[in-house]
Amino acid sequence: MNYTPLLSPNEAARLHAASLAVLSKTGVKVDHPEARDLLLSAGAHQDSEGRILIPAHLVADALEKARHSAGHIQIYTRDGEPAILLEAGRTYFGPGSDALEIRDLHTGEIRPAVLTDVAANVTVADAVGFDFMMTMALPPDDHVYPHVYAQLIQHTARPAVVTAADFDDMRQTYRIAEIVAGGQQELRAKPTLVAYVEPISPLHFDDEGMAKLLFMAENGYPSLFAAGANCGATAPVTMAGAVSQANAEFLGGLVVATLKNEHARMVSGANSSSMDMRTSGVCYGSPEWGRAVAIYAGMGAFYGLPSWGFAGGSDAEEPNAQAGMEAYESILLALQSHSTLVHDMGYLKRGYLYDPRMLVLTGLMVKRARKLLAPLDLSSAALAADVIDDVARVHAGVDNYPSHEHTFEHFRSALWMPPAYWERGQELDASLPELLTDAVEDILATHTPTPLAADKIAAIDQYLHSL
Amino acid sequence: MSSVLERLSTAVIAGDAENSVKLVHRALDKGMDPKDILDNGLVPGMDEVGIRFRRGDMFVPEVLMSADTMSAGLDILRPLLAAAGTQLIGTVVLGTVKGDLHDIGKNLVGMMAEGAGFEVIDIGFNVPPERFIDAIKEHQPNIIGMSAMLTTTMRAMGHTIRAIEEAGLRDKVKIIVGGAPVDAEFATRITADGYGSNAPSAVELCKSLASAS
Ligand code: B12
Repeated sequence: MNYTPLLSPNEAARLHAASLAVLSKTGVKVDHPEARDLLLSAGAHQDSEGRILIPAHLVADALEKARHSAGHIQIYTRDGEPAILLEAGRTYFGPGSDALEIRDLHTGEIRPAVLTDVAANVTVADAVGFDFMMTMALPPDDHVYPHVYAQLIQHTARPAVVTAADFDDMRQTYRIAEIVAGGQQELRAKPTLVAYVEPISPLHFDDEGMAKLLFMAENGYPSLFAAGANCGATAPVTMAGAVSQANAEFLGGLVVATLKNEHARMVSGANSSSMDMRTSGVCYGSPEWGRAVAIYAGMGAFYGLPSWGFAGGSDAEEPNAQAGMEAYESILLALQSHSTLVHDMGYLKRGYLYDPRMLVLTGLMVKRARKLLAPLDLSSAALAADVIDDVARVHAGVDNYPSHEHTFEHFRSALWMPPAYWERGQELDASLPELLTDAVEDILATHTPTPLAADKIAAIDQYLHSL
Repeated sequence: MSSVLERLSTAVIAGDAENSVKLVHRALDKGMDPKDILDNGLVPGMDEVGIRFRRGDMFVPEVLMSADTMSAGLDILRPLLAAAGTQLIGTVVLGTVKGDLHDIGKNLVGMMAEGAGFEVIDIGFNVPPERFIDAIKEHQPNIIGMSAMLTTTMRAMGHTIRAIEEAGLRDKVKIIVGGAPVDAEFATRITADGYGSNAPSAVELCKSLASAS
């Protein structure tokens, strides 16, 4: 059997054609007056049911504009340093957003998330070294999103991808980012965050989503328009159907955004997985989930745009064998397919639960996968002909590799170096989950993320109080 | 050859709507009582579907197809039952609460409730309390079902219950809630009458509340 999990350009072209057909035949439902006007005055048509049919040439124009301005999107750290360059071919990993529940490592119990969990999880994810952050926990309070982001930005300098339930939450979150950047102009020049904006599958561009998208486009703030198009739930059960729909949704959003501002900067792609046909839960760990990330990455490469990705999660409730299998599988696929901005590291229980140990574990997986898939080094130093000659001929009294200088110099870069608690035939004091608990506690006791300046913290507090 | 009613049950289990419609007509032609066709043909089929689903022998799309099949048969019987003064099992108004755009779970509950013989009025998503109140006035349901998928919107369920109380309609309906962040304890706290963790349990809940009312 010939397995090709990654997408060929020819397959990408067929999916693109299918998406164009969806947009021109079925079109999108848009109520937002400005978004409607933009589409209609640019040449989209309204059908008898009021749906907006988007012709292929509008999509082609949008892609052309996007490739110019959004082919390379630089995102900065909170402190103004270039951090991640969003362009096809590079891969960055980060956690997921908004989990309802947290595994409390003190009690071992699962409990509802509280605001301090955001701080703790961000601290762990920062120490693990993920490239970008998401909030990981969402306390059950009204309009909590700006408060959650305020926690995030105080506990990491790394860039973020931010979610919000409605436009106001999103605007307030951006206000905080503007305060930290020193103003709106400053944030525009050096964005520190990417907005997670989405349509409602199938093909509904709701008012809040449009308000968010137009705001991002207007300000040139980088944004997603990533549908939740899940096989058999919000989209056709077949992968090609789900992707062609979700990709149509993205392209429709790209048209709106680039009509608002031709310099709008967007990340392509969407979220797709499967609905479990027994429990009706949407899986974050099924093979369809892993497959989808590779497909959206292929579409991004086809468009010359960065792509949104998802990996490193599991449907299991604990860091067990299932979690290991599911998380690593998707991480490998994300990396191998060059997905750009890959979120959901460490999600458990279909995105409902965070266990900080999974952050440590998926951090290890990412390093391991990068090692596994790194291009083969064929330099003369790596081919090591002289070293072979040395050892075989017992030059300078060295008759073995372990004591050769070449080994001494290269082993750290040549080999994957797991932490001391990784089981490799040595005696361990405890099981992996227990050792991971220890690793988390160690991070929380010793890791201090780069602090945010006191005047900025005060300004954020003042702003949050004014809400 | 098995009886028409047995074949009707089998058609429901197989999700064969075309055949179930034919069999309902056949049973009526034979002079069977509509209530008998419902209770001994359609309903036992759907009951078996429930058993197989819980056992893991049937899957969501199959259950939904069976539910559709049941509804197709029921559509023929409904006017006859009404003419004979037979009470149907009940009416359910379903909506996803204000601020929340997730509707798949609610839709599944609706489809399965229809399959169990309920009249289902779906009032959509992002539904403010006033629209629930209007729907109670307009449709006089036995049951209001609210869905929420976000921890930030689940409290809109409590607000909606308060609004229904203030409108003086609380004793007219039973209120049930569901959605991933919701649990039985939360349901009790906001004084809902019941909680269902998935679509089949939601339907069981509707049945027990409808028969109690
Ligand atoms: C699909 C999806 C979306 C789609 C929804 C499309 C649609 N048409 O519904 C879109 C993209 C629009 C979306 C948007 C958002 N989403 Co969303 N979404 C999901 C996802 C992936 C699947 C939900 C789903 O459909 N499940 C399948 C159905 C069948 O299950 P169910 O709803 O639980 O229903 C069953 C039971 O609960 C029960 N039930 C349901 N209703 C009722 C009612 C009654 C009366 C009863 C008795 C029973 C009952 O029976 C159902 C059938 O068995 C989940 C994650 C996941 N893996 O589940 C996140 C998730 C729910 N979303 C989440 C979030 C945060 C959001 C956003 C804020 C932004 C974001 N990160 O995406 C926005 C919010 C928009 C808004 N204001 O509502 C979070 C919620 C976290 C939290 N703390 O609350 C989740 C958990 C993902 C995550 N971890 O970030 N989302």
